[in-house]
Amino acid sequence: MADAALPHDHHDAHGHDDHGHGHLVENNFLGLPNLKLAMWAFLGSECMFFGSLIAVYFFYHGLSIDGPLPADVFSVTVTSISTFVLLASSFTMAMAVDNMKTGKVQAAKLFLLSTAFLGLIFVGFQVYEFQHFWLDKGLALQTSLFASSFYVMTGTHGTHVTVGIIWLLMVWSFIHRGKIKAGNYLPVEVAGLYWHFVDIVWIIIFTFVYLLEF
Amino acid sequence: MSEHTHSAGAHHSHAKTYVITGVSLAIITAIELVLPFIEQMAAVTPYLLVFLSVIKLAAVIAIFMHLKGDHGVYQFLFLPPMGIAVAAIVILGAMAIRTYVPFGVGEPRLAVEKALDPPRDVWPEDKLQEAYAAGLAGGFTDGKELYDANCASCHRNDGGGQTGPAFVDNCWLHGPQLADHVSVLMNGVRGTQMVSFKERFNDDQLRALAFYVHSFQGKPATNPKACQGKEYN
Ligand code: HEC
Repeated sequence: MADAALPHDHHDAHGHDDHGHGHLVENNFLGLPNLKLAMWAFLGSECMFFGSLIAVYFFYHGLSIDGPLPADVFSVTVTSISTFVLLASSFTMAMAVDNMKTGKVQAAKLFLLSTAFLGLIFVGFQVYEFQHFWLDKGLALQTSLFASSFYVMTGTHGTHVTVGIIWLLMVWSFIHRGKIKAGNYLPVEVAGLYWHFVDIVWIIIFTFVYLLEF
Repeated sequence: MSEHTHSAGAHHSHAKTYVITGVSLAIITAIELVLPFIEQMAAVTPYLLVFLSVIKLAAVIAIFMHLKGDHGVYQFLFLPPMGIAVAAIVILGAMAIRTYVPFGVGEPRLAVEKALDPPRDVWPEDKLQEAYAAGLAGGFTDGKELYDANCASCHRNDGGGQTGPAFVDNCWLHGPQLADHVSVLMNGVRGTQMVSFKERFNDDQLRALAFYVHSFQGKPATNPKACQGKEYN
């Protein structure tokens, strides 16, 4: 995270108050911070990445030779709890960015930790779900088209959450060690963009893959 | 850190908006969770679920991710790819509708699938044997054409086997009869690379393939795979 120690940007969502400041060295010719611009470009590509995984899942839906089928394995309880947990983590993430922006560093750190913790619970549920499907229900990766497309899709999402947790903890420790100074909220904001994106992917998977099955 | 004081003054907190958004999202999710269990609503539930999830998506992107009111370049980088992704999901999903009623509205999906499946014309073994004997001299050219295009990558053109087993010996994993081959072709073999071909070929084509596969027995092949399964005479 070489960019962690950048001078902060003054770009505000509601007004371009960065104009007139002379020290925005890392901003590009658009007057926007490179880091944030790169993040949005990356998230655009992630859209298509997850879009294809989800599309493939749908395409194969109902084409499996043999069970277990989604209705045999999905559990409302497990999925709802983990969905609420991830939703809550999006809220704490937004609060972390907000507190960082308004200079409340201690609160921001706490919210970062809570976000990572909630993410960890989510991943824990997924690990439980996968081993339950595999060992108890006999749904291995190669069992059927449903199994392969389901595991690859949700597994990729879970991997993203895991990466997000590590990232948040790194941001936390950078703040803790003073490498990200109060006022330099850009690294937190950009990590937050990634985290929220992972949450919206889950909103889609939760609705279209799980809920429509119940 | 003079910058700090600058920025602290420049940014007012959105905490209240975030709390309201967070609570609303939780409420919407709770509604989504209840909907599938209200039977009277079964006909509209799928559409409601889609609608509610779109609202949630929009809220997270616009408010939590701050894309609303943020610089247009960010929107340009993110929204068109998202549109492409949604299009891919909708189009591929629509293509899959041929096998199931979307979102299983109203009816159990498996029953619907069965109803959509045309009845298959499954021949008993003796009828298959008759047709096989009658066609043997002709070399099953229909079957060969289909086989070379669809099966040779795994079973090889000469039936020597590669990913799949060889057909030139008398060994079979799933039985030596013509009806056994047809059944493997219809259903695939779960957990292996041998998938079901019943969606791809009609009954005549499946039979032609089974005949051609069967006719490999005793023919020469370069480096055939060793016997797999049980040896029959
Ligand atoms: C992607 C690779 C692949 C393709 C393509 C493929 N097969 Fe197979 N096939 C296999 C494998 C692997 C097996 C062994 C399954 C098992 O372990 O039981 C098999 C088994 C079979 C068997 C049963 C053999 C036995 O010993 O009982 C038949 C018959 C068969 N295939 C015919 C075909 C035909 C006809 C086609 C083309 C329409 C085809 N296969 C295409 C991989 C393939």
